[in-house]
Formats: sequence, structure tokens, C-alpha cells
Amino acid sequence: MRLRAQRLERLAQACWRFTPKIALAPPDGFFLDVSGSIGLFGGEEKLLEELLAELRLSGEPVRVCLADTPAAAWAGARAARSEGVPPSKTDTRAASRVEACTGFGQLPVIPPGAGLAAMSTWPVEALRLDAETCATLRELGLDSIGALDRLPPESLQARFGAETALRLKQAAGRAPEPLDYLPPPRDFRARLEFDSPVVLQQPLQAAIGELTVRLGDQLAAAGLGSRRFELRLHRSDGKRIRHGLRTARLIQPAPQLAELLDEKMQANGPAPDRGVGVDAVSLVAYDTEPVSAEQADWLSGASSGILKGDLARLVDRLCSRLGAEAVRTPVPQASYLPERRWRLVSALDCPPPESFVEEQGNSPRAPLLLLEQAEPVDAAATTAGGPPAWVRWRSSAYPLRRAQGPRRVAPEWWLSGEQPGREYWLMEDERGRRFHLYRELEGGAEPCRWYVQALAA
Amino acid sequence: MTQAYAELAAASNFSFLRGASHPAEMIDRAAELGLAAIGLADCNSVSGLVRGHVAAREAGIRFLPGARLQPRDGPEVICYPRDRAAWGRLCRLLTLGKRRAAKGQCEFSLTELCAHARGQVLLVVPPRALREISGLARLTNAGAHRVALAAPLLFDGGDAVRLKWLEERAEQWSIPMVAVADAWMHAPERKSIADVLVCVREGVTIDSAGFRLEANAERHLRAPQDMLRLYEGHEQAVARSVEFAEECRFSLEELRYEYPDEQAPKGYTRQQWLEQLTWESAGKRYPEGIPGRVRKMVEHELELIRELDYAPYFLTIYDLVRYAREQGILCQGRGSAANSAVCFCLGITAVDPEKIDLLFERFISSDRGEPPDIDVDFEHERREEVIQYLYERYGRERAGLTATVIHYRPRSALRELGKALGLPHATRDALAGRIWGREGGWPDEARVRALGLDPEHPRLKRTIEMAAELVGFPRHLSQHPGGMVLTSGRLDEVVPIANAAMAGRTMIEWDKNDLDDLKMLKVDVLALGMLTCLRKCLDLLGRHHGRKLTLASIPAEDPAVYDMLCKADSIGVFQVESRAQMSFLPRMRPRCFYDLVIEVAIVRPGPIQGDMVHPYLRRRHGEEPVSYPSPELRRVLANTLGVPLFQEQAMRIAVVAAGFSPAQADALRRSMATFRHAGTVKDFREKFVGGMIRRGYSTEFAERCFSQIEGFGEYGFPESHAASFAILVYASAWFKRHYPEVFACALLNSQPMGFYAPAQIVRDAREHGVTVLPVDVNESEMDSILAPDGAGGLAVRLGLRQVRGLSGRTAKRLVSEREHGYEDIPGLRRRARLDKGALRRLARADAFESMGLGGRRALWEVERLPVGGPLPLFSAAGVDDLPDELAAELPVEPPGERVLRDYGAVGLSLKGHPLTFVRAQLGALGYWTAAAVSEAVSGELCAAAGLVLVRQAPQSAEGVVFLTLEDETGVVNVVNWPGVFRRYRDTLMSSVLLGVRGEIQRENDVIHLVARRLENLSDLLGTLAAAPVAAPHTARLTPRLGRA
Repeated sequence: MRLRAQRLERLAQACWRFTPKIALAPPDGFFLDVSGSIGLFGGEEKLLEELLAELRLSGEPVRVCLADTPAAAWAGARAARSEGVPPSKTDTRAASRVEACTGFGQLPVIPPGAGLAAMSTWPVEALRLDAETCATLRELGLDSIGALDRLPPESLQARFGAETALRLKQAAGRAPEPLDYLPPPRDFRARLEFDSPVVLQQPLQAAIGELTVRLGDQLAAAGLGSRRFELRLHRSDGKRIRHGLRTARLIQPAPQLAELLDEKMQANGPAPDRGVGVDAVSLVAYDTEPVSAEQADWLSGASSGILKGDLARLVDRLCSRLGAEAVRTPVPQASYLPERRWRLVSALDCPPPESFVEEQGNSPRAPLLLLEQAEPVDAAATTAGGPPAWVRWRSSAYPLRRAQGPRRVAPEWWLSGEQPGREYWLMEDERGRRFHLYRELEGGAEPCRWYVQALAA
Repeated sequence: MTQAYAELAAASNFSFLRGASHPAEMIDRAAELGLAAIGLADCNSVSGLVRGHVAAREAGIRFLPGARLQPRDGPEVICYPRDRAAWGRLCRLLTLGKRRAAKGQCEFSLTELCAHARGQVLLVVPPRALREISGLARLTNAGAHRVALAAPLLFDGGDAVRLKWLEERAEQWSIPMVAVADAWMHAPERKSIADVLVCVREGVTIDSAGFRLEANAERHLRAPQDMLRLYEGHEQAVARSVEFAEECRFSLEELRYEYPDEQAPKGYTRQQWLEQLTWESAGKRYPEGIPGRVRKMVEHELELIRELDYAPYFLTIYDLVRYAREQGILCQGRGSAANSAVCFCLGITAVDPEKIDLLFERFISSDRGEPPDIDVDFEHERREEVIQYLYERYGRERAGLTATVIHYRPRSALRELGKALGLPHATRDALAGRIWGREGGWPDEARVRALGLDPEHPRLKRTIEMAAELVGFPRHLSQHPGGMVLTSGRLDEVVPIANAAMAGRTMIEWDKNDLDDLKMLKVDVLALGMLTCLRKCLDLLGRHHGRKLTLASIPAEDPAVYDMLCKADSIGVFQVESRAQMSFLPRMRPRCFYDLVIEVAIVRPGPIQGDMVHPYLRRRHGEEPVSYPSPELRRVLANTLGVPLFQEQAMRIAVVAAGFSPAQADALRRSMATFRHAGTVKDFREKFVGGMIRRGYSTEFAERCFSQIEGFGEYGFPESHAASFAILVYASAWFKRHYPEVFACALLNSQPMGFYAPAQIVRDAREHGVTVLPVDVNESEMDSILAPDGAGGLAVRLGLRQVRGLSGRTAKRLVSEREHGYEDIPGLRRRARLDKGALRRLARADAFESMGLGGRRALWEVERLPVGGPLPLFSAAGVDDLPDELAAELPVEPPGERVLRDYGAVGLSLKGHPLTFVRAQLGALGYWTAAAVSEAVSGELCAAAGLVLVRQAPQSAEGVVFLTLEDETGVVNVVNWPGVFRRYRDTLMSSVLLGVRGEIQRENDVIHLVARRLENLSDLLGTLAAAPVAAPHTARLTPRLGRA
């Protein structure tokens, strides 16, 4: 359910360029009040075409309708496609492409002033009544908007409430419908359009520079920063090339952004395919968040992640240039096996240290210096099941003096197949060198194989 | 070196979701390792101890029953009672902790533990980290017999330090240190199971379980020499374990069961009192004098009862039955001891000993010394009263419900393991969804492949392997449907008592097998819907026809009743109304009471799997001579024409023909009843079949006998139970035959019960000439009633309880405020204080016809009323505040829609059948009516469509699914072979209206449509009305069979 709401909101947020008045109509619709912008797009049909083109990009199945009132548009978008059959949810979801409503001619527009006449055969569900009311109306045989309109309004109101009567009036345009408009977007964007397609690198670079300044100014004015940006090149063949950028720091001012974009460009270059030019460039800052006081010291590049100061800046630059996956940091994970105790993750995804898990109890700390792979060694225990008295590793022999153990670890059977368990001994030779040795626990008494896995404690 | 060590800290899988081995595995392993003794102590529970005790008796190892106590403010303490009194204290402590906590929890403080410490041997388990053990001082001063510090090895690299540290602590407190393996599994191989149990417990997957898992697989039982080697330098601690084990002398053998002793008044022994009661009651049963034969039987039985000292048992049951009778609750006993002249005289059963030759001794074997077995069925609506009576009469500390151990079944094991191993949801569902019944269909390689999964996928493979190991693990305790344990002394000193999930119920920690093993008495207080129905029948008969009858005095052996049953006209009749029974009745052609006894027992997995049904029928109809496998079996099989049908017979065969001892036969029965590993079954099979072959029986007969025993499984059905059930079959059939209106009315008022929904009951009643009148606010009572039908007869008037969603309170108020009737809807609303929701429901149910408001009109009027109740001012004045309004024209309601609305509102329609309205469309699709199907000849291809009444997949039918479809002309019985079912699974499961194409199969009067193709036609109903149709009957996929 939450996911659906998110998808709806994302869809609505893509429409800011058509109007500043967007209102959600959950669970599956939203209104655009385009009365002021029709002229800007050169007429209703032009606007609808562009709107559909924009929505098509989302990959979501969408239906639209343009009408005099929100109520009529809501009904039209849902009901008009196949007249007389109640709209079903599965139906809208099954449609895998944007569909123009039928019954309107070329585009889904209810002509001005048509009122209820255009809607009389549509099902009562098209009035946005709750499911229970609709069910009751159907039970009474009142299954179309027309049937409802033929009843004495007082009888209708007495039974199904003012809400039902109001919805009917709103559909007819006899009552106003105030909408709850969305607050202006949290995503900030800047866009530059070229007069003719641009193929060369240099004007593109200049345009990107201009965009970072514009976006930086917008962010600074709002007191916001972001960790996620996207640079889009709108090619003249209709394709878009996207360059995502993630950062460890919360970025606001243009110079920082420019520095990172610069790294990015140098790494993989924004050059469009030979011959296909770019119509426009846009730069978007996603998920903006307020810049707090302690982050104000921009020169030191403060950040709220675990990476601080110059390290964060370095990481950001490296990530911009090499990609986020190329810069890694070790993170502990909950495994008893030393070789699985640490795992490398992208430096941008490093969780805060508070979330690191520690082993319970009083077992010795995991070794810090692991060999790439545990190496078989010669060793011998003086007593069965006891610690070894010496070890021969990489052709040197080390007599062992002190032992701590044994510590037994079961294999992680869900990852590997049948593997023997291990018995670890932490050994120290006469010169204080420490070895993490283990033997495989197989069957028990038979001569067992020893390995050295780590050095020092 | 043997006998040098005793394990004092072992836990089994009765430490739910912690322990990874069965109690018996622990014990057997301990014996194998040569331990001096094994102590079993599960977390705050003694539920696994009886199993451990039995296993230890067989393995010949000393067994210490104990518990691992986990006080909320102290260390874990393992507690072994030293004597019976200390055991009582342990049980009291656990009872205290459990009664105050939620189900499955136990909560007590260290102080409370100390208060119950007298006579206990306590082992304090130190926490993992080396920190001071809180509460040690209080424990050492609590007056326990001995206190010691348990010293387990953790193999975490710090054992040497830990042992030294513990030794110092022990010295500081002057208590000894004892070596323990602290075993949660019998062998290290169980580590993976232990790991997944952690995952289930913590709700994580194995990949994210991390440090929640144990680091190693060291917590298992160890041999003495290993312990000595590992505790080098601390050998004393190892030796001390044996010394401590010697101190714990308590054995579960000491728990002697004593019957409650209040039944006999002063001056009588219980035997004397039973005799007196029996003769007195016999006088009442036979007002014209006790027949000589009965007198002799009673005398003989009383003698046997005296010999076996069963008088207290009979008195306990009698007391229960007496209470029920005083309260007007209909009840009947069944079971081995119930089929006796004594029980008949005492009114415990209605099985007249004169009419049926059921030898008491056949059911009571004096050599086993086992308690006799009587289950008592009560009206399902009023059983709780009886249970509460028992609590009241014996007190919470002397009465408790038996527990049932909920085990992992293949389905749940696969589901939970799949989840723990992180298999995707869909895979888990696919795996688990294919398992029907208990053993049927373990996902072998071919099946997995058929699901579109790769059986070689490591995780999947592992899941299936491990699930097999997990099957049979106890998951939690639940309450038994009605087994009550009653004791003379305090029950909470025998076994801990805990809260059951249901309010007002308390239950003990042991299940019925545990009680059998300890020879403790259990009285089964069961609920039976048919008894409710019959009591209502008897009441209605008395009220409307002036006939006062009881179960025992219903005219017996009425040929008209048997004629009806032979025609399979049995909707609503107890037991024989099921689909399988209906097709069997015309073949069986019952003509006397004993035929009904057989009828009840034969259509069950046991006889079916043993292929005993057809031989019996052939012999019954003289198509095959009656012969006996051997002279010794003649006695066992005489009543059933030489074919074993009943569970008792199968068990006798095991003894007489396969050479089992009675105790072994009993073990065989039980191992079939509780799900065990396939290995056990195999051993029994070899012994059984081999035994019979050696004694000269044919291999084929031996195999069949064993299959039959396997088939009995949990649903074994003995003759002694069948006889009591047969009485109810006969009684309900008698009512159906002679007073169909009484029967229909009582059935409707006893819902939910039986196989059929009200729609089918009403339809059947109407087919038998009963007039059924609709629900009406001015005519209906809460229940359905009998009312004059206008033609001098009685009609059934449907009750308000039929109206879906109408609360009982509202309906009662409607009836109680009615006086001379309601004139209009506002008046009804005001006087009966109904809210709009209730009025809507009544309107949808068309209950306003008597006001002249039908269908949509009534709803239209109701919708006009304001939400909520009427205003007090107006209601006091008796005025309704509605202004006049213009008349509105409502569209006319199509009849089909109306019928569907009836189904939605009352679950049935008197106006027609939904299929009438789509018949034309069905005809166009080539579907026949049920009537036409019934005329078809064998082998004919045909198609039928109908509402799905019942879906059944009996365990004995190996993947065959039976369906009953209903249309406006009758019902069609459909058989789906496994292949068809697999192909059309979803269609079959989800359709309300189903179309079936296939071939007719006819045998005698029984017609089946063998499906080839299925089609979901539910959308056709949708064209009648947009409102969703409630399924006429909920889908049922589990086999519905009685229990023994």
C-alpha cells in the first residue's frame, strides 16, 4: 500500500512543468489544474499529448481525461473507456500502456458545458462514492449516474447523505470542488535548452557549468542540500542519457557540485553519440534535506555519514570518477569464521558504527591480520586434542611456547556444503610472534590437518 | 572407565524451539555412551519427561526427571526433585509461574524458586560471561537438599579460564562444582537443526542469524572418557556428577494415580455404591422388571468391575452424566467400557445390551491393567458448561485438561524451514501447498521438478532434507479437545497446570500418551453437534407432537428408516451424510442396527486402505462364501463375516495371528497414531507381516491387514465407538424419516455442524414435503421454529439467526419487544432499538414482507433512516420524526438478482436457485442439468455445472478429489483423478460455480461424473448482480472423519 502511494506521488511529481497546482487523489489518481497553462502549451490537445509523453516515460499504465470539473475528469479517466461496465481495479492495472479513452474522439476531453449528459450511462462508482454506498445503490437498482439524477434530490440526500448529493452536483458543475494541492517539489532541477542540437563537447560543458550554478543557487536559497543528483542529456532522437551521482556529503554550493561533475565527465564524458545532438540538458537534485548548523563549515566538507572531513571529500571525488562500487570499506559482519568476519562494501553505503555487531561472551577478539587464504602447515600436538608444540610455516619452524584455546567453530553449512568444523588455537612462540592456528575437526582422533589463518592477535 | 559420569544438564526438543533432539534420542544416546544416568531438564517444563522416562525404562538407564528453571531475576537453575514431595513442590512452582503468565509462558521470581527448594537438588548454570552470579547466596540458603555449580565447556577459547574462575566461585560459596555437557542435542549432527530452530524462534533467516547461532556444535552428550579428558585437572567435577545423580532418587513411577474419592456417600464403599446405583437405575430403565439376560449381564460386569477395581471410574463418569442430565444436556458415552449393561442402566449410553451383542470383556482386557476408556459426547453448544462443572466440582488444583503436543507436520516443517533458509515465498508455498494429508506426497525429486523447481538447488535440497528431520518435532502444547484429568489429591503436585489459550480453561503439561504411560485416568468430555440437534429434535417432538421420547426409547429397528437409508436419502443424518457414505449406503443396504455399526466404521481410511470393503460387501450379498483365515481368527472376525473392519479386530489379529504381545500391539497402534519416522513403521511391518506368514497366513492377507492398521492412523475407529455412534445415526435417521420438519428445524438451529449448509438442509426438507417460510420480523423467533403451515401441518419458519451479521442480542430484542407485531420500519426501529446496520441486514433478508415491503422497497425505506439509534426524546414519545417525501420509482429487481441477494443475506433462497437464471447460458455452453446427468448411462460423455457444495480430498483416496455440485435440479457427484486435479487445481479451489466435462460412471444406483476438464463459471453469476456472492459453503479440504 505504501509502495503504491509512493508510485503515485512519483508520477505526480513528474508533472510540475505542466502546472504548479497538483493534487493527489489516492489511491490511484491525481489532478492537474491546467486552466492557466493551456495557452503555454498551445492548446488542450498539445498539452495532453505532452503530458501523455511525460507519463509514458514512467512505465506506469496511465489514463487521463480533461474536463470542466475535477469530478468529471476523475470519472472520465476511469469510466468512459467501456461504457456501462463498472471500472475495476484489476482492469486499470492490467492495462500495460497509456490508453486514450474512447468516446471522446481523438483525445480524452469532455467538451465544455456538456455536464451530466455526457455521463448519464456511467456507473455510480464514477462519482467517487465509498464502496458501501455504491453497493447499496446497486442493490437498489440505481447503477448509473443517470438513474441517480432522476431521483428527487431530497430523497437521495436523506438516504445517502450530503456527500453523495454533493458529488453528483460537482460532476454536473453545480457545486465547487476545492482541492488540496501538493507543496512545491523537494526535488530541485535546472534545465537548459539549446536552439539547435548540440554535438560538440565544449558548449555542453559550458551548459553543465551554468546548470550547477543555477541549481546551487536554488538550493542555497532554500537552505537545502542533497546527496543524490542526476544529469540528463535529452538527445534529439528522443533518448535520454542519465548520469547519476551519489555523494557521502550533503552537497549544496555550486563549486562542490561542479568539482564532482567534472570528475564524472572526465571519467566517462558526456559526449553524445556521433551525429546525434543534444536538445537540452537538465540537472536534478533528489531528496533534498535541510542543511543543519554543524554542516555549515563547508570548506572542511563536514558530513553526517561516518566519513568525515577531507576523507569524505576524497571519497566523493573517487566515487564520482570511478563509480560508487569501486571505492570500498570493510564492514564487520556476524560470522564466527575469521575470513567472513569482514566484508567490503561501497564507501557510500558504510553503515554507522553503532550498527556493528559484536560477538557475545568472552571469546578472544577476531584477528586483525588475515592471510589471503589459510595456509596448511606442519604442526604436532603433544597431547591428543591439545595445542601444537611447534609449527612449520613457509619452510621455517617456530617452537611454540604459549597457547590459548581451544575455540571451536562450526562450519556455515548453509553456505558451503559439508565442511569440517575447526578448532582454533592462538599460539605464541618464544619471540612473541603470534599465530592463529586451526585444525580441522574430522572424526576425532586421527591425525588432523593444521592451518595458519592469521598472524598477531 | 564406564559409569564414571552422569549427564545432569540435558534438554530435549520439549524446550520448544531450543532443544534439537527428541527425549528418546537423548536417552538412547546416553545409554549408548555408557553414562551412569541422564537427567532431562527442559526450560520451565516437564512436558517431555514421560517420554524420556519410558525411553529410559526401555534403554535400561537411570533417568532423572527435572526442569531447567528460569527465574526472571536470577540465574538458570536445573532442578531435580529428590522425592515425591519435592516433585510436588516443583510442579507447584511451575503451576504458579504458568497460571499467572500468558499461554506458553512461565514467570516466577528467584524468591519463589527458593520457597519451593526444599528437597530439590539444584544445579546453578552460570552465565556465559564471567560475571558474578546473582542470587547464588539466596539459593545456597534456600534449604535445598544440595546446591552445586554446573560447569559446562563452551569451546570459545576461554574454557580454562572459566573453569578456574568457576572453581573459585564454588569454593567461595562452599558448593561443589559439577561437570556438565549442557547438551541441547544428542549428537553434533543436529547442529543444523538447532540453527534453524534459532531462526524460527527469532524470526530471522539463516543468513542474517549471525551471532544468534551457537558458534560450534559442542553442546551434545559426551562419553565419560571424553569428559574426563576434557576436564583434565578437574576430574573431581566429573566424578561428582555420578554422586549427585545418586542423590536424585525420585522416579515418575512414584506418581500413583488415585481416583477422585468423593463419589460414594458415607457408609458405602465405592463398589457398593456403584452396585446400588446400577440396580436402582436398572429398575427405572426396565419399569416392567429387569429381563433375566440383562440381570445376568449386569451381575457379571459388576463382578468384573470389582475385580479390576474400576468402580471409581464408572462413578466419575456417572457423576458427569448425571450433572448433564440435570442440566438437560444430552450426552452419550462411547468407548471400550461404555458398551456394557452397567453403562446402559446408568444412562451413560443408549446402546441397549439386549439388542446388540457387545461383550463387555471383548473390550476390557483384564490382563493389561489399563484404565478403561469411556469418552462422553455432549451437545456441542453446551459442552463448556460440563467442563466448567468439573473445574468447580474438583477445583482447579485437581482437574485439568489434557495437553496435545502440536508436532511439526510435513507442511509446517517445509514452510518454516523454507522461511529460515530464505527460500522465496512462492517456492515455500509451492512446496508446502502440494502436501495433502499427513504423509501423502513428500516432495521427492520428481515432484519438485514438476513444480518447476530444481531439486539439485543446494538450499532447496537442504530444506527438504532437513524438513524430513524436523517432522515430528514438538512445536508447542495445545489443549486436547476435551480430555480431563481428575485426581483425588492435588493435581498440581503431579504435573504443572498452565493456562490454555481459551479463557477459563486450564491444562496440564502431559498429553494422552503420557497419561497412558503413567496409568493416569482421563475422561474425555467431547463436543458433538449431532447431540445438540437431537436434543432439539426431542424437545420439538415433545412440544409439537406430544411425544416424549429419549434416545433410548426411540422406536427401534423401524424398517421405514432403513428403507430411507438404503436409498442414500441421508442429508443431515449423523455420520452417513458424507459423500462417501452416501455412495456406500445403497451398496451396503443396512437393515438392522449392527449394520449401522459397520456402516459407521467401514467408510474410513483403515478398511479402505486394507481393501476390506469389497470383500465384506461380496460376502454380505452372498457373492462370496464366508470363510475365516484360520480357526483362531474365527472368534475375532465372526461378527463381520470374516473380514476385519474394526480397530479392535486389527489389534486382535496382531496378537492372535502375528504373535504380538498385547503391550506390543498397543505400541503398534500408538506409533500409527502419532507421526513417527518411517523407520519405525517399517520395523513393525516386518514384524507383523513376518509373524503372520510364519503362522501360515497368506502374504496378501497379512499385507492388507497391516495396510489397514496404517490406515487407521489417527482416525482408528473401534467397534465400541461405532456402536454408540450408530445409535445417533439411527435416531437422526428416524427423525428425518418420520418428522422431517422437526429434523430440519433442529438441524438449522444447531448450525454450524455436519456437512451441509442451511441451503442444502432447507432444500432437502422441501423435497421431503416440508413447507419452509422465510424470515420475517413479525413471525420469526431467534431460532427457526415450527409454525402452522395453513394446511393443518407444521412448517418451518426460518429464524432470525439465519440472517447473516445480525447479532444475537439484537435479534432477541426484536423478538422480546414485538408484542402484537411491528407496523412499519420506523416503529420497529424505535421499539426494538435497532440500528441502521441491523435494519439493512433484515431488509436484505427480505424480512419485511409482512409490512408489505418487499425487496428493494424495504431497503429504500431503511436507507432513509438516520444512522445510529433513534433519538431518546422521540422514542419516548413514540413518534417518528420523518417528513413526507415524494415517491421515487425504483427499477424493478430481476428475480435472479433477488435470489443471489438472498444467498448473500441468509445463505439460502426460497425463491429459486441461482442456476435457474443462468440456465440458458449454461445450455448454450453445453452443460446439462443434474437431473439430466442422473439419467445418463455409464460411459456417456456429459457436462454439468453447479455451485460447489463440498470439496473433499480424503487421505485414503490418494490424491483423488471429490466434489459435489448443486444446480436447480439436484446434485452431481464429481470425481477428479490426481492428474485432472493437478491441471485444474486453481479452478477447482477458487470456483463458486464450476463446470465439469467428463464421463459418466455408474455402479448400482451410484452415479459419478469423472472429470476431464473443469471450467470456472463464477462470472456467470456476476452477470446476475454486481454484489459478490458468498460461497454457499466454505471449501473443505481436510478429511472429515470422526476420532476414536
